[in-house]
Amino acid sequence: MLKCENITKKFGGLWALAGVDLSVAEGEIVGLVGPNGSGKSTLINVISGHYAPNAGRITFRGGDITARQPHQITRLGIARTYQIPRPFQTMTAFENVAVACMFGRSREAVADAQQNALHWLEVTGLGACANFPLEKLNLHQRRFLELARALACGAELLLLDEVLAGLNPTEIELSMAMIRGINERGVSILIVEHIMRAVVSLSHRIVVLDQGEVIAEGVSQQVMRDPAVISAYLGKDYARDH
Amino acid sequence: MNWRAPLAFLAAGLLLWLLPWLRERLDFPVFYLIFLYFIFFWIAQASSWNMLSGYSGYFSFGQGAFYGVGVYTTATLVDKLGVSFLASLPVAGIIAALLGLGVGFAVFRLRKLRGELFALLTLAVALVVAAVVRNLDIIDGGYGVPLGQVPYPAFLGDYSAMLYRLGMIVALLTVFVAYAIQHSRLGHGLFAIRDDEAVAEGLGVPTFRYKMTILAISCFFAGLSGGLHALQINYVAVESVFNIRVALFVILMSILGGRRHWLGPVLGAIIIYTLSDRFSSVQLEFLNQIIIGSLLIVMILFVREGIYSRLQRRLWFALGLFALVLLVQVFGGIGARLISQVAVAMLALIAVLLVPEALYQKLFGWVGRHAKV
Repeated sequence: MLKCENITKKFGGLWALAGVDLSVAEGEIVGLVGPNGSGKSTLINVISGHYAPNAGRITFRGGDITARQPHQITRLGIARTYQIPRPFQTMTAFENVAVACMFGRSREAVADAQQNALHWLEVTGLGACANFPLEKLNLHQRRFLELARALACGAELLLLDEVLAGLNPTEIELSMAMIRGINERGVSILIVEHIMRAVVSLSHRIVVLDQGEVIAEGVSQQVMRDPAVISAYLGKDYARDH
Repeated sequence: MNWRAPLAFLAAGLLLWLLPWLRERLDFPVFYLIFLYFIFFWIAQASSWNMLSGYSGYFSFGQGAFYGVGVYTTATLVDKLGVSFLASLPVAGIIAALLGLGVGFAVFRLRKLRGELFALLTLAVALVVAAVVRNLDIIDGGYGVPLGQVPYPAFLGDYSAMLYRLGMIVALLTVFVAYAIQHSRLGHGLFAIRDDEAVAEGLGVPTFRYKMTILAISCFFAGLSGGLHALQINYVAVESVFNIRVALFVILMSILGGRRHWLGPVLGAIIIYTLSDRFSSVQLEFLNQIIIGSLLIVMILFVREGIYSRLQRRLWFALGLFALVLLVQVFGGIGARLISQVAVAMLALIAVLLVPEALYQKLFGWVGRHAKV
């Protein structure tokens, strides 16, 4: 479905991504993990079109999307969420989602969008907050609002950037159930996450980034035992001793 | 959008069209037509600015440039090239829109664009355009362009009726477009851009195209209204056309009225023009500047949403007080002219709307509760 080949991104003299290959199959949940600064968020930004890569090729369902604008990529069916939720501050939750309905893949007319926005709020359990001003939503609800907007775009591939960070254990359970539910609707997911327990349990496959390179890839439980991964996270000495 | 809105605008236009005819029958001074023309002029300019800067959040200081290009397009076409006045008006709008597109193309293509850059660039464009016009003999060359007696179709009435009617049509057209945009896909996209442009783009809003579109539409109306204003100015000169007045006034009007709603700049234009006209008629221009200046400070600090949204919440109380103050003056024989009396009533209206929400609830909350519609 999504295929990144040899993606390179340089900021000044720093290689944020040094030739990354990554793919997501239809219906798959892929976990993208790695220490801070390993290039996970940069990769999300490159796939969604917010950064142009210095080299490499990204294809989505066979079509090249490397040089596309973010809004064009969204209309093809890729939507993202932000680590720190970025709702439209002067709009209600409902209006936030309506914008996504209007401009996403289905390009709904204004009147239709206003009907369907409520549907997506209900799917994400925010039906009761539809007309709240934004300041009344807590972090957990804002994260779900990000999800609702991404879904309302008509996404077939979701890029989730640390949707669980800062949530309490109950909220994490709820969010994981929500993400599984979304996947069961046929939406593929690329999820960046620091909470290992969650990412291992959610993902069908895990890709580990370190300093802009893929250092391991495979089925969840095995990857986390890979010496290269342990060394990236906990240092070389720890990897040798265990 | 439904069919009712265009019909309402059309009906308002027809009624207003009849006013000069009514004036002849009832014999009230021509002054009122001229006064209303200026109100229409400012409504068109403020609405044109607001559909760009209010809706999308990109603050423009270049309204004067787009307006001025309209003024000079008409002046040049009519005086130097012998084009008919009415035909020159749409050209004035189109030339201004092309200038806008040029500016937009230069500035909106930068990926890391911030609003400050746009504001500075529009300010610079105003200076450059003024310099070009001043130095090009074919347009002005520093001598000014006298428009004198410009022929126009007879059905528009005498000179002041003609200005009034055309000004009214341009204003209604601009406001209708602002209304239509607010309720359209374009409007929703612009509001999203105003709140967070990167997120808007990520949700599928074609931000570059939308910014270019609204810039072109906004500049078109600035130029159209400017082209008509060339006739009112009559003797077109660089210093009087390209000063900061237009750019500042449209910002003031929109901030006072409110930038989130198509009615905001309309309300702001009516209030600010009426007040400044009244103050200058009694030689109190300095007082006008003090009042408008302090009003702006209060608005920016405490009533950022503008008075329109407050007016909605305090409608009956505010309108009631407005009517009361007006009636007391009319029947009490205070003040010479109706417009002055209206201006005083407007000050009362603004005072009510500036009362902080909490205090208002404490003092007048019962009004809202009883008069809820």
